[in-house]
Amino acid sequence: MVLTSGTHGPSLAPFEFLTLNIILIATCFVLLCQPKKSTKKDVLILVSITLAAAASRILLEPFPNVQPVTLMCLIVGACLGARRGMAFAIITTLLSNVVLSHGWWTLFQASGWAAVAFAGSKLNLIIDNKLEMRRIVVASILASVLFDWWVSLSIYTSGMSLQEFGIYILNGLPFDVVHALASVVSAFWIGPWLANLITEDQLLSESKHFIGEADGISS
Amino acid sequence: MKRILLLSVAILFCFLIPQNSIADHDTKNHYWELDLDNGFISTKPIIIGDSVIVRTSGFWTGEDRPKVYSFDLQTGEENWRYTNDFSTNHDLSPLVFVQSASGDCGSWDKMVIVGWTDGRVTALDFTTGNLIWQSQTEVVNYGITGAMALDSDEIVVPTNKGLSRFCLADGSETLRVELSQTGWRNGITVTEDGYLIGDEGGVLNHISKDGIITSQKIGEGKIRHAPLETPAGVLVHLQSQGSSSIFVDGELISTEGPSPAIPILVGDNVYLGTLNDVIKMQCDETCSVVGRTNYRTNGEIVRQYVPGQIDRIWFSSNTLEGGWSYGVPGENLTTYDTKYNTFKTAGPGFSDDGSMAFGDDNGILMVTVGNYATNSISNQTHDKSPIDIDYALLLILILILVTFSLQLKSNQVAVVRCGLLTLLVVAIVTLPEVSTIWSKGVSELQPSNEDWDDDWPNDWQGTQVLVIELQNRTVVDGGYEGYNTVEELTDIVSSNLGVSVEYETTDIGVWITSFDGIAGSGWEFTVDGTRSNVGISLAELDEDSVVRWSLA
Repeated sequence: MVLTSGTHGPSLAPFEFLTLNIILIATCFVLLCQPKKSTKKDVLILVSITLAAAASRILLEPFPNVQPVTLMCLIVGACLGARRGMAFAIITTLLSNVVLSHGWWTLFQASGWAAVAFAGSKLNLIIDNKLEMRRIVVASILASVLFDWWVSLSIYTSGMSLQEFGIYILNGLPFDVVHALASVVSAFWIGPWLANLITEDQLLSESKHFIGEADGISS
Repeated sequence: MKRILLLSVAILFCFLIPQNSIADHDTKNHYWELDLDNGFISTKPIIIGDSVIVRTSGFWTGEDRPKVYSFDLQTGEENWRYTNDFSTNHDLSPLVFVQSASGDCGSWDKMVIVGWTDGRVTALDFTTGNLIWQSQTEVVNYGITGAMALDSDEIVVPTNKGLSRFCLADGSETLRVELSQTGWRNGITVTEDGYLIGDEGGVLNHISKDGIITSQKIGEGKIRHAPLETPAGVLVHLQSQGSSSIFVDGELISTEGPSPAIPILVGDNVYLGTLNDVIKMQCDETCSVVGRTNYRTNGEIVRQYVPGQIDRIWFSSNTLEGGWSYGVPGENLTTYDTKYNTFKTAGPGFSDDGSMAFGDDNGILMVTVGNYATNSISNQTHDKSPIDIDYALLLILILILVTFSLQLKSNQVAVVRCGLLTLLVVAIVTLPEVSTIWSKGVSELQPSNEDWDDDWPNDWQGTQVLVIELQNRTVVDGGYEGYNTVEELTDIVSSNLGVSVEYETTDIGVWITSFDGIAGSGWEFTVDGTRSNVGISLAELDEDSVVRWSLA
């Protein structure tokens, strides 16, 4: 608990804000352009989940460090791949911070959750279209704590000594525990449902695409 | 087996919830509370008929500005509110209720008179909150902060650098007196032949009703209360650095602890307080200390009249644990704390039938409605404010019951889900206390650094010093003793230096948002050169601590 303003690091001038926004939005654009065209269905799924994730951050803001977005990043990364997962993380952060307050820390939050989504895409969290609960629990605990420490780096730039930063990290451990616990709760409550929702829609979409091609050939 | 273990852990956590997060539920009493959420409550609420009137001092963040509210005593529903968009500092002047009557300058209905730090005096309609009249007084950094007093059909107002008197009917000024020194929280006492008012220069001013001033220097210090006219003479409790002194008719009676509370006179008895003690003095032909109890207070002292019983004298606790206590100095005080334990400045307000209203430094208004029998304060051996269901505890209990019922139905997945959710709720509920304890432990790991400037007076060595690095200048003052937290030291030093401070209170503590109106990107503080892990209310000081404020 640090009770002075400005503990998130330096405040940004309007030009710096503009630069930060351009960097984050451009990154999303690049991530979503490749590797292939998305169907309308894909876009709809991504937009819906992104809006839901941003809304969940805003609605749960009164509860300290309860952030289901961490778990959602893991699952979206696992289901839709690294690029879409990272784009999801960045857009969710930007959208929710419009309400929760935007600043230097947005860069750390967006990059932190993007890294979580990237990790989600590489950890084989979904096998045979089923969420691996053990893996997702371990991953969400680690991701929550590492994400918190990464975001804490946003204040390190404001002239702290390494020792002071260590004390700051140590000081926040109870909040890290709550974040990890909230992610585990999210994993059990919404994890399987969210994974099914995305993978089923994807399968359906691929299946429809296959039928269309077959029809084209036969005709 | 795993499920049983999980459930056991969940139940164990429930028992480990700190007790003060669990309020006692007393169905005999009728209780309501409101988070006014826009400033300290530094002066006692008043209960008039079926209304509770309270003022907040404001944080000046966002759209929040200082307000006066009226609530229905029975239900807590808001009757009206009056906002002052121009208030410039913490509003500390107690509210004055005026019954409908008439006088030489006209007649008036029931109203509430409010003094503001922008120098205005406003008369608000008691029923609607509409402005009846207003008058402007001078502002030098701040305007009105002391207690106003009624004098027949007029109200006498301690202004920033003098005294003004206004007709109750229309607010027309009938007397204006300029003094040589400014005053802060310097209330007015009306005597038979005039008015008594102290100032920041330690001067007691006797002002006749025609405006003739007779000044008497009491000592080096500040008079921050309405002087008391006792049978033995005029009593003032002079505040000086690190201590205080009680004078009667200019003669020193006793030297006491720092930061005195606002004393009151009840018959021949005077009740006083400091950061060290609460004190009872008896004043007949002479004044002498007849009782003293170790208790830390510096806010309002209030008398509660209870039929058939000895009067209760209430003191607000200036500690992190907070709460209020009542009793008579010289004996053990009975603690009456609430579930919102924090620093208290305002005294409680009482109605004739025994209803009570409490306001705290976090802007929480707590009201118990009932008669003396049902309030039964002396029987509250648990020292808890009555009656509120702790919804978090209720939620936890429901979750445990649901988990058990699912266990009986052998629904394993649902048991794990509910068990984890229970753990999360417990973790969230206990987080503020756990993190506070944790932060205190972590702060002990930090090495203490030296923060001393050789240009400072040698007298300051071994005392508490506070430095504020403003944009174009640095202000510093030292020689302080006995202040326990950064908040206390900052309050007293900034007040002595004439630096205005703006605060913001949140669920996790108090922030300082600006000094002298400078907010920048926020303010940070160090204690002995080391950043604190805890907020200003919790950051503890040693006797030789140096607190340094700087822009983030």
